[in-house]
Amino acid sequence: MLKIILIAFIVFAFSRAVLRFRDKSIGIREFLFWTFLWTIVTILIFNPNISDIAATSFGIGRGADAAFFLSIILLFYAMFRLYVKIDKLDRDITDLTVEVSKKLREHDRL
Amino acid sequence: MNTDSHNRNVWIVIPAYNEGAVIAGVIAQVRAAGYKNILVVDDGSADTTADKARKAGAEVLSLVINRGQGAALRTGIEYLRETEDPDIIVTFDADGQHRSEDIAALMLPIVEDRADVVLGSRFLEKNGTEIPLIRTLVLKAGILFTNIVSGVRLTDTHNGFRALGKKAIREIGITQRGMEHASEIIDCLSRKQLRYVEVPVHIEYSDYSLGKGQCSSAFIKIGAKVIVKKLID
Repeated sequence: MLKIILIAFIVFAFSRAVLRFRDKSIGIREFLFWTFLWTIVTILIFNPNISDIAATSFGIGRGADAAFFLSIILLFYAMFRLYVKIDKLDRDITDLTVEVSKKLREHDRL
Repeated sequence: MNTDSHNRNVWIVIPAYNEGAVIAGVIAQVRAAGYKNILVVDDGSADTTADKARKAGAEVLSLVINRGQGAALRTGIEYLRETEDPDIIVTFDADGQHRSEDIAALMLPIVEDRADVVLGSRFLEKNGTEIPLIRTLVLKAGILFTNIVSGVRLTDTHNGFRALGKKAIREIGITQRGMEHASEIIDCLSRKQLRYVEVPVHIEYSDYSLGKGQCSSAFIKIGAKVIVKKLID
């Protein structure tokens, strides 16, 4: 039952990635990243033992622990990426505000 | 000392956000001290700040939306650099904390070609400034933090009262839109190899200015932003 729920979620999440790629909200690199990620997760759902083998090679006892650590690292990275993007948007808005305000002032003076 | 006596193009830049209650008085004080070139950068105020500043005799540049003190200062400095070719820009708070009598002393090191940037300091010597204890502790922590991060030794790092000479006006680029711009300016001193000096200034704390000023917890936010900016850049 749990497997069915997880697969349904993956199909839903991957369909979102496909739609976003089709309407060009994301580029080919991001689309390939999500495709790779969900493929790996699907493989692990059907063959959980693979994660144990991978975990052991990194010196971590269980595959579930390795997945947990990896998730935290990925989440932090995603947060950092989001922060950088929001910061850039914020700077762009400031640049725009400064330029428009200076132009309006010049216009008023004429 | 005034603009004419030294034949210099001096501009007083006052960033203002919802300062309608006091802005006219601040401008009158600056004008009475002999400075006629006053640019108020209205930071998208929702009140009558711009109208009152105009009526009080200042030039007004209004930001179309509120972006913070750093953005307002940046706009004022950029605008003057592009249109007026100023020799000296003095940044002055709109809430009545600063005294126009201190402007002359602040400009002097630039006039005498001893500095490119002059920073006002409320801690440099006993000058009658009574600073609330909590504010003192927070400011001292901020000073220590900024000194470590920027490598520039100063006695007061978040004082908006400063004078910029021609080189500084050309070289200093403010990218931080909030109060973090104060740390950014200090960072610029070492990066752009600007000559700087601190001058004692008096800060007039009132219920109004304390209410309008940064709450102490905001300094933690400023510190975090400075660190994150260094990581991103």
